[in-house]
Amino acid sequence: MSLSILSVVLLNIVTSIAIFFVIAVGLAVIFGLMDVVNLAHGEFVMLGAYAAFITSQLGLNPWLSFVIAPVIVAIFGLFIEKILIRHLYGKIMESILATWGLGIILRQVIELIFGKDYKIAPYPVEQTVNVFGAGYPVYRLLIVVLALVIVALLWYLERKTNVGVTVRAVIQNPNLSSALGININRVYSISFVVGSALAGLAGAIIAPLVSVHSGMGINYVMNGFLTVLVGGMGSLFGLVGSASLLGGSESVFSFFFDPVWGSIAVILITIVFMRFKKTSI
Amino acid sequence: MSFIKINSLTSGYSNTVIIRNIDIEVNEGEVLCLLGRNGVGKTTLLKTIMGLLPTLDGECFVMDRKVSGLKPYQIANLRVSYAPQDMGIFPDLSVGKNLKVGYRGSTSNFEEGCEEAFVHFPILKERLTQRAGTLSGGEKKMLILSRCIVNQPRLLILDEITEGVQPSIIDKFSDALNDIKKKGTTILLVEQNVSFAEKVADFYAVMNQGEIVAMDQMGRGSKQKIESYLVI
Repeated sequence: MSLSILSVVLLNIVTSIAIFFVIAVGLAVIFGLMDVVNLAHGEFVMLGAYAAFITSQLGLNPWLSFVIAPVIVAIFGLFIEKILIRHLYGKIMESILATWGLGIILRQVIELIFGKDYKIAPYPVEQTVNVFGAGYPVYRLLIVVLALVIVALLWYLERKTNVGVTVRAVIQNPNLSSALGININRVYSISFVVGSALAGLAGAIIAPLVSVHSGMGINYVMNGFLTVLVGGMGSLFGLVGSASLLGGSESVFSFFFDPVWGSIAVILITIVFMRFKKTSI
Repeated sequence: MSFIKINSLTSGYSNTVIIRNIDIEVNEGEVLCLLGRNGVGKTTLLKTIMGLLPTLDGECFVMDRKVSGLKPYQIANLRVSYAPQDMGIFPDLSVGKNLKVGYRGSTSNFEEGCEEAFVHFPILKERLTQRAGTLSGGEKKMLILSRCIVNQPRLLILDEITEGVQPSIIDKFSDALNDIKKKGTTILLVEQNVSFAEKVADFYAVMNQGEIVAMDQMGRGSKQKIESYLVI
């Protein structure tokens, strides 16, 4: 294998890890804090991707989609939290069924509005960089930088601010937190909105790499869910580790065999992990 | 006007009544100690006042405000500090962060409050960055009481704060409570340790089978009276 191919393979592994992380992080925030499995997370990602598509259709700068998509999906998340999720706190099975149903509705509504055909969202940056003779898209490297920024921001928020202390207290003991003056429903509500915004951002980030269509969410919710399961709920670095393991494996297997083997590898690794791990699911 | 006024309070878990027709009045700055054997409803009463259990009948007022029906955080925000008997700390947070949970005042007031707590419990200052879950049973109770001191409450509700604390350290708890009391804080505490109750309380109430069976001023001879109720 030449040096240029090896470099591209390694960079693909790193970007694949970043994409796994970006997709899963919103799901992890909601799951870790509220014990709510949002199976409509993939559709939230899809809404973010459509927001990126609409941004470009309106003739706006594609970079703006990184702001517009999270804001739109966060507002939508706030609405869904009030009418649906609020009634599902701590109820894992009910949340799985209700959010799966929500996902179906979202897919159908988007299909009714935008049709069945695939949409294209433009790259905000189209340049490539020379990596040992091979051209590599700058945008894919940007995804890695964005993922690192998200990790750094969440780490800072969790470890260094009062918001982080409050959130970790609510995760550990909601009743005690409430008796100490914390409005836990408000914390849950804000967390769901933040998780939704992260899903929207993930959608905007991946939109230029894929075809945007109403059914695209299913591909992502599964990988996101498996990443959260392997990484553990409520652990940022656990999530980074599991995204590295699953995203890295998928990329390696896809390169040496084929993408189907990449998906099989992700599922097999998760099954082995779940076999040896104590979990509520 | 009474600082705490409880009228005919009935409460329990689901539809099982644990305490019934409780009437209590405590004036501002007074300390009332609830005593009784295990399982007579002392913790249930405190949890009901804090909104952690539903009021099935009757009502409870704190500072003339009806708190029955309010959520725990709304009651806590009336400057009510509550120290539960079990699970009173966040084991995965550091000692310092445990003191900070729910705190709403300024940083300088927080630091002042911490220093005040460390006068009584200096060991906590040495363990500020340690995970609270690794503290000993007595140190955990010190942390719970310190969090209450930091919050500068107007009403302090303590559930068996001396449980599991070695006798040589219990005096530090009574010193700390007497300091809190000097600031005019009203205190409602549940205790099994009658000697400790004698040192800090102005009044006592004895509970049995979900009801208050005796209530009087704490003084000479109170210990014998109380202990006569506690004998099985």
